[in-house]
Amino acid sequence: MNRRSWLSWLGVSAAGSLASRSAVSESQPNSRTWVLSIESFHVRQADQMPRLHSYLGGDFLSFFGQIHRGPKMFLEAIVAPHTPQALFLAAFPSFDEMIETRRKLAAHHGIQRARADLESGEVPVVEQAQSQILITTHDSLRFDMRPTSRETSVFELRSYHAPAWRDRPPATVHAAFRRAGIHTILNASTAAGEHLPRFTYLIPFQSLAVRQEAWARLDVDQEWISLQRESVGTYGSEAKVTSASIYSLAPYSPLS
Amino acid sequence: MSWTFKIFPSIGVARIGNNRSSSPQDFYVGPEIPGTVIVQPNGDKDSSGQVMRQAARFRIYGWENGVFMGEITSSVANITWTVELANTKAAFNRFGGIGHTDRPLRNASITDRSSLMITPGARTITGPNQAAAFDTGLFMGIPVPLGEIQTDAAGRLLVLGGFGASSSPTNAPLTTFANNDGWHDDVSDGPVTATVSLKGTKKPIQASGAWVICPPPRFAPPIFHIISLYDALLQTAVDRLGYKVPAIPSFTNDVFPILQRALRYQWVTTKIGNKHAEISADIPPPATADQRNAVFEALRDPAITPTVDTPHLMPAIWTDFFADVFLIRGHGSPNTGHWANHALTPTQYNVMKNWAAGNFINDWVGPPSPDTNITPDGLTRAALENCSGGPFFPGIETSFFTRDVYPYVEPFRLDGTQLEAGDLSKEQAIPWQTDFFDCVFQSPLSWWPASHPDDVFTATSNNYVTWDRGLNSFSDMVNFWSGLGFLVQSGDSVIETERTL
Repeated sequence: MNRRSWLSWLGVSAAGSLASRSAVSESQPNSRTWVLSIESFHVRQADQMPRLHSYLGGDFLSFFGQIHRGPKMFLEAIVAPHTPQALFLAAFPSFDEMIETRRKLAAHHGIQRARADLESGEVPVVEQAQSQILITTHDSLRFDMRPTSRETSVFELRSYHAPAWRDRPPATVHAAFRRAGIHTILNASTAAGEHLPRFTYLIPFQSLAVRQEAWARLDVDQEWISLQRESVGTYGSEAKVTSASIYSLAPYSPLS
Repeated sequence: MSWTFKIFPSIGVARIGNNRSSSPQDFYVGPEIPGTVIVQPNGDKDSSGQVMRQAARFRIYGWENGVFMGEITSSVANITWTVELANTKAAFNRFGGIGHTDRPLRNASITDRSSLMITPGARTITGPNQAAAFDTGLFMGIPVPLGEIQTDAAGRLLVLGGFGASSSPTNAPLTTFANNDGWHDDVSDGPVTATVSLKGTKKPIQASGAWVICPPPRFAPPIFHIISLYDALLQTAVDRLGYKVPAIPSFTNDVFPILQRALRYQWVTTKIGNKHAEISADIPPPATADQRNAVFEALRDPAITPTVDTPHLMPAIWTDFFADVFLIRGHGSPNTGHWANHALTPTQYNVMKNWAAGNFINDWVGPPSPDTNITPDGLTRAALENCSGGPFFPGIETSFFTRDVYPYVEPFRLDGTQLEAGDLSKEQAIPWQTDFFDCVFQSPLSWWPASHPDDVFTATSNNYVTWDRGLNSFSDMVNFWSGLGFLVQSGDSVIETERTL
């Protein structure tokens, strides 16, 4: 998604989302699902981040909070293929509600003004925006379970390409995660795109060091090792990490 | 989970300048995105006419179990940088050209060889906003500062080179373009290493190292070399590391840059002038087969023995083997002299061969815009494409050793364990200004006009003028190099600015 799409996210055009909607409809396992929108905003220069945060945490969040009923979270990248970067996650009860929310955002004069301010100047703040839509069940999205310490905690957004997991990761995967100290607050499948089936996790850790130790424990977990071996035997490859980025919580991010 | 870290650019370029300030407003960071030209808001010189230094900025990128994670800054890690700069030119062999590396030593009569080597040693800094100077090196007992290192607020490394100060403690005369005993300059090079400790972890991890070279300024930033150091070291990767380039070239990414560079040489040498104008007919593609073949047939085949003359073939720059052609064989015919020109790299030549045959991807939608993202590989390419990839006689930023001899652990990344600080510049002319003075158009060919223009336009003249007019000797270049003008893009033209001679 380029800067033009950044406008479309705000509802100027929803055409790009319709194909995704079809894919979502086909993949919805049941009615108790969240449609999760993950938007990443790439900024060219670090000194422009305060302006983006001012927008997201100010006018945008103020109005969005009025029209949106689901969980939401704002993060800032600390290790990612592109930095500086802000990430906005919002869950919607349905795809229709997501579209309607976007429409309201795009029509709101205050948002339009704030967005115009963000785009003004010689170098617009948002250089590129990328969007993905995930599907998750209600009990797989627990933003309220994250650590309470805003200062030290980090969040990892990690995606696996795992043909052996088919529609959803087996329970043994999550059991191995828990044994290793990896407590996901989101696990979701991707509705459309590359490397399908793809499963995405949002995982809070108390610190980078805790994160390191947790993944190291998973690497030597016997059941995890067995799962990976079976995957190789059946599908020719392990569950493979396709992307992983580490974020901190934005100061204004809601707690749920 | 295991992390690996690498420093980028794998070879960085910090250019010297006689503005000695280390304040951020008094230097600039070199290109970090391929295809970009750094344009200083107030020019390349300060208000008193001193040339600002170009810093090389190094960043660390991390991979976790092979998955690219991104840049590692001080927000997530404790980073310790170690850099060593050295200038060992005066203790190395006299330069004699490729195939003549068994030459006698420079300053052969001096037995204390260490007194000829400016080796301040390594400097180490940890964390953001730190600095250390390479100010303890000596040449024949006289201090010769080589620059400094800094970290920025994110913990990235900035390397700043020397000040263009060349002198002779013994008041020796300047007699040759490359080997002047008793002289020193303050260009340098050396390894850049780092250890990375992710916050909260105990064991530091050594990042894959890089190298920095601190050569003279590049006075024609908008003009790219027809053979850049990136092209030359890409060929090294192909030849020695088995690196694969696409079998079918892209017009936009592979062919167009070569055509464009050839076209733009009109701004730095009257030798080209408007003779390349017909190349414009090849853009946009596909052009006709005859048009494409006309360009290709004008190129020297790199398979031809370098010392063989190929009159009027391109590019019109001298061979690496100038010693054998000119100094040993003599001057050639009175009209043209020898035309032993430097061929494109085999990879570049193959690109043009495929294009001429119609075997290329026509992906043209207009001149490509530079990327907007800083990437690891882009950092290296941006640094190297602004350096000359030949001729290396001995060359201006580095020597043919870097292309032909020194070992690499991966494409564009030298094996620092087998090299010493100073190795990448030790064969260069001492002082650099003498070679810089000599490497003007030398009939019938040029040297590296994208670094040292032959002829330029000024804001007030539509006729070519000699770029280094007014400098008439080696000594003049030593004393007044910073008065030379820098070239800038001005509308559709490239003109000289900031000349203070």
